[in-house]
Amino acid sequence: MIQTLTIECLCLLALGARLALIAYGEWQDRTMLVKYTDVDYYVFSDAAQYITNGQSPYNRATYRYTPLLALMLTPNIYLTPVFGKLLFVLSDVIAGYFMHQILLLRGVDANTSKTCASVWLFNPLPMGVSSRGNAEALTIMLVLGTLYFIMKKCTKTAAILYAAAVHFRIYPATYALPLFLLLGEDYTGHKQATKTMLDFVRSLVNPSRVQLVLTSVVTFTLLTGLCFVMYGQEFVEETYLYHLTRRDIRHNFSVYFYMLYLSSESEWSLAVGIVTFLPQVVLLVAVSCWLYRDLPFCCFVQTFLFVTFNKVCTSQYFLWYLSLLPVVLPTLRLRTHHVVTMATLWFLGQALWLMPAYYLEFQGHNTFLYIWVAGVLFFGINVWILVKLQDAHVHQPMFYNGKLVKLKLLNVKKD
Amino acid sequence: MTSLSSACLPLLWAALLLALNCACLEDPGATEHHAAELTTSLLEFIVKTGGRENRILQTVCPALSDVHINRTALNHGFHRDVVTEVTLPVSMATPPMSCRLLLVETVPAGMYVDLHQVTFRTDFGGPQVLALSDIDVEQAAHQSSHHRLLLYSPLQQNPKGFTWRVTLPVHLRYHRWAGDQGEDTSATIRLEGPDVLMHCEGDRPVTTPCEESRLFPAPCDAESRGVCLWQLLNGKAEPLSFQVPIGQQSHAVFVITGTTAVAALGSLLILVAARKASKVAPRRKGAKDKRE
Repeated sequence: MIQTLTIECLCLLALGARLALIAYGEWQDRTMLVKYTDVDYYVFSDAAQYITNGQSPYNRATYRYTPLLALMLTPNIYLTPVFGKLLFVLSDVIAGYFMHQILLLRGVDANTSKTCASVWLFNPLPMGVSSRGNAEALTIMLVLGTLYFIMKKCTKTAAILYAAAVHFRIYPATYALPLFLLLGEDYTGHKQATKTMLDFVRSLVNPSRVQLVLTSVVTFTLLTGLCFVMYGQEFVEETYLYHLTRRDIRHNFSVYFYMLYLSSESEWSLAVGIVTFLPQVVLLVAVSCWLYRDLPFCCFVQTFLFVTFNKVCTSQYFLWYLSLLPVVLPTLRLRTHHVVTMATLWFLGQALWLMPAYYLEFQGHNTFLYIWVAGVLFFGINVWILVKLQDAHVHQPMFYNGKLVKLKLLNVKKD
Repeated sequence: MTSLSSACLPLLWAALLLALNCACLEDPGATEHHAAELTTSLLEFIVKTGGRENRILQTVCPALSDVHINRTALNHGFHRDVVTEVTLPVSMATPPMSCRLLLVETVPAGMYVDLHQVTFRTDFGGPQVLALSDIDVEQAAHQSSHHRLLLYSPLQQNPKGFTWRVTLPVHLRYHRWAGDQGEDTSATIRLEGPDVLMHCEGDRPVTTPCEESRLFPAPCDAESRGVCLWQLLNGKAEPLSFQVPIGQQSHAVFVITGTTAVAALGSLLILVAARKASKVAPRRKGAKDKRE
């Protein structure tokens, strides 16, 4: 069926399905005590309400995003409360469209591209998340847009989208190094001798890189500066510092959760801070340096390990790397039973965590140790999947001699 | 000028009522202290929310002998529902009088009420709630303080008299872990019985004179800006106890060592895999062709 439809049709179908979910959500919210709409969506709406009253969106407790998001959602107040959801599902579908275009650019055939994009477009997880009013789709769209325009060699457009993505969410900041490295001689097509130290430094600075850095820095500074002028220190505290210094001791998927809880306000605190920070940084730098030539895969691995090694981890974070999975699928040499094993273990890991978490949260049993064990297990599964995917990945540089290199197609077809 | 007087008048009232309450209380120390504290926080709130009418609506005080307050907690774990039932005697109903009830909850530091959740519930029969101070819904127990809530909900009349039933969703906060020696696997949080207040209007042939020490000023309802006097009813519900699981410091060495080892091992495996992944494919076209 996917083969017979154009990508536009698929996108429209995906959009229709999401709109249906929004409609269902409206019904459930009106008739049931348990809401379909994400709690955060009410936070966004309240923040937008404050803006329309000429007040700071940070008057709404737990609003921890850029004020631009609240500003974008002011039609929630003026027009219709579902405006934000429409915006999010639209971004979600556009992200799916970008996936398709990225794969086409890489030389993947139309059918495989459509199949891979459908993995996102008709995936119940992003469908549910965006139609419930979670804003992650915006960042995801911006990240995929960045990849797309880098592949089109529209450096400035890519830089603008990238800066916007980082402004919205911190996690794409991890792509800065690979993006910078990618724009080397293979991207520009100008070879440079690197005999002396000076040559090496000179090879680091080329017009494309200058363009990337300048454009993204200017865009980011403009966006962030604007917000700072409007809402001052409160904006920096709530949007960035909170996420950077966040030390939530409440249970979550992170392998570090129980350790952070037990070491909070103890002499272990500093050492634990280093233990949780160091692996993430070392891995991100190493992966950037080793895998940047294959940018989509590099970003995928970066995001996956960023989430896996993060101090706080909730299920919405999984979308960050799942959104990059479709564009790396054709570069993975995987058999069906591998895919099934990975997916099963990934879900099983979460289920095994959810069980003791349920007993703690809703039954009041002291299951901290079990939650920790389940967290370690889930971490192990994620590490295993990451290792497996890297083994299965065929590393193919994206650019050579200033041109985009088509993928040598692999036998992605599941057996 | 007008704004000045409107700001000062409630303050004046505050001072006056505070003096009244402190002077006239006949009850022993603890109750007296509680009443004074309650008055202070109510007045602070009235002044803080400002712009309320300066006139305080008086109340008539029907004689009530038989007030029943019943409390139960539903569910387990961190998310609970506290159900409060107040039953007033049937004599109240004749002749008809317009009365309203107000429940003042003192929520201890170990738990919190999410006002946004409460707002959703008002559409489904939940009470309207005013918080006398800001509530941080994210902090751990030892970094929080208690907060006071005013709960408004309509009275329901039935043959036995008036009943009043409110369900308040509460959440237990994360608590500090238990020390090495402590055997405790859970912390206990005590929710004291609420103060039940009533405000009545209308002509009543048999009203007792209001006892000054039992009168408190509070907003008339959750929405309007008016202030009413409320009569504190007799009868107090037993406190409710909640248990919340806490982390064990005795796990610390094991958990910290284990987590560190696992994180290190995981990092190493990923590093090795990433290095391998970056090398598998040929870096140049020539090599690629050779491989295939």
